[in-house]
Amino acid sequence: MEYGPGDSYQETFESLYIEYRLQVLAYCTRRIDRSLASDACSETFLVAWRKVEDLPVPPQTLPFLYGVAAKVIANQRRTVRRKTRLDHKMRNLGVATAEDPSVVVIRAERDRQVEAAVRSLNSRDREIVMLYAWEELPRSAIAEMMGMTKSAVDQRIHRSYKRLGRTLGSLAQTQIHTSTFAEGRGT
Amino acid sequence: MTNDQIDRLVRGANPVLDLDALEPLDATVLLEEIPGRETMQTHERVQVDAPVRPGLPVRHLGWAATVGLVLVGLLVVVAVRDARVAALSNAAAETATAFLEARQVWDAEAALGYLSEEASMSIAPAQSVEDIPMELAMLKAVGWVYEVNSCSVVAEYAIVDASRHVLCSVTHHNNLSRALGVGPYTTARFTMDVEDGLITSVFLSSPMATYAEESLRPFREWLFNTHPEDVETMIQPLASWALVLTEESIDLWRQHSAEFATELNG
Repeated sequence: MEYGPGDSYQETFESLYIEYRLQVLAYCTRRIDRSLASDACSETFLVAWRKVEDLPVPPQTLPFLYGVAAKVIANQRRTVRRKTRLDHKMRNLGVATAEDPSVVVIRAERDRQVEAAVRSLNSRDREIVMLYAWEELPRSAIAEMMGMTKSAVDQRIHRSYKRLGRTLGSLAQTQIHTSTFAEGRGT
Repeated sequence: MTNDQIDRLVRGANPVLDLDALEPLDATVLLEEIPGRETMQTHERVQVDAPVRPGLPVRHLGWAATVGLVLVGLLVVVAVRDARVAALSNAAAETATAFLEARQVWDAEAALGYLSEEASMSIAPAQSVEDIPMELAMLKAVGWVYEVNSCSVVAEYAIVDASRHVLCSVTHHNNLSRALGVGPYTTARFTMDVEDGLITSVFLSSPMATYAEESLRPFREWLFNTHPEDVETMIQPLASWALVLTEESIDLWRQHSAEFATELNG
């Protein structure tokens, strides 16, 4: 969509928000706790509000918003780390903290293992795999967003998938061993 | 698992598959959070006509504060740069190690994943990236294992985006040396340049004199006596230790090295 010069600042922003809010919220939800994702999404669009006239035109708009969201999430993580340290101190003082409701969400075991394997990749490879497989960005857009060549993105996806294959293969092995051990113990 | 299977697994594990299940704020609610949005300016106003009265002591304090801030800023920049330099060096050593570990199990596809497309290669008999699958097939045929001892960055550049020069020491042995009860050999070194997570050059320095004398010479003598017609297909005539890298040669090395080991141990 194009943002014409006739649109008011607010109308332009509202159009932008309506068009991209779901993708940006999904991006945030895939990377941080659901209870924080909504705030991160809002913060991303508040940044966009200040830059709405300078935003790149589609198809670069969404990768740009993802880039802003990535910075917002990085800031949130720093804040959470500080809060986690505070929570730890509070627990030691016998003060309970609120249970995260997302922890109780039941996910298929296999998907949880695959997701854990994706999250265990190094930060750059993880972001590339998530942008490719979860955000479904074209590799050329990922390359532009991450400041690297498309060929480097191809190589990193290939390499990450190989690693994931090995990790998931060893997980399957571990499960077999564990169940064998459990069966043996029961007899 | 194939790449397609992994791709399907990763896409299936997407924690947010259905965007419609998400409940973002309404645009009007979000806009209410923005202070002064009705009079929003694209750029903040800068007050240029305020009176400036710099008394002498205040001006000195201002200079001191500025110099202090610059120094603190410089220290922060240096600290951040050093941290990034160290992180890049660690990542380069990890990449080099992972490449050699993939070679160790003769996994050509994985090994190629760590190489840039135009990487320069000097790993006799592989002289280009395209040679890697066949080179690893040859190593597998001879049961040739290069075990990684350690990898470290040789030159620590104070430039964040420069490539890293990584030196890895390895121990190697193969069907011949194991059958003869000699080796393993610890003098081989891989040197690699790693840039932006990919290896741009690989060089293997592997003094072969001891290996050639202890392992290859007995095998060559056996080969001349038992399969003289295959020698030329398997070993380059001008270098007594250099293997010929062809499908036919790989098959012969697989057969004859196993046969040699069986005869010695049988």
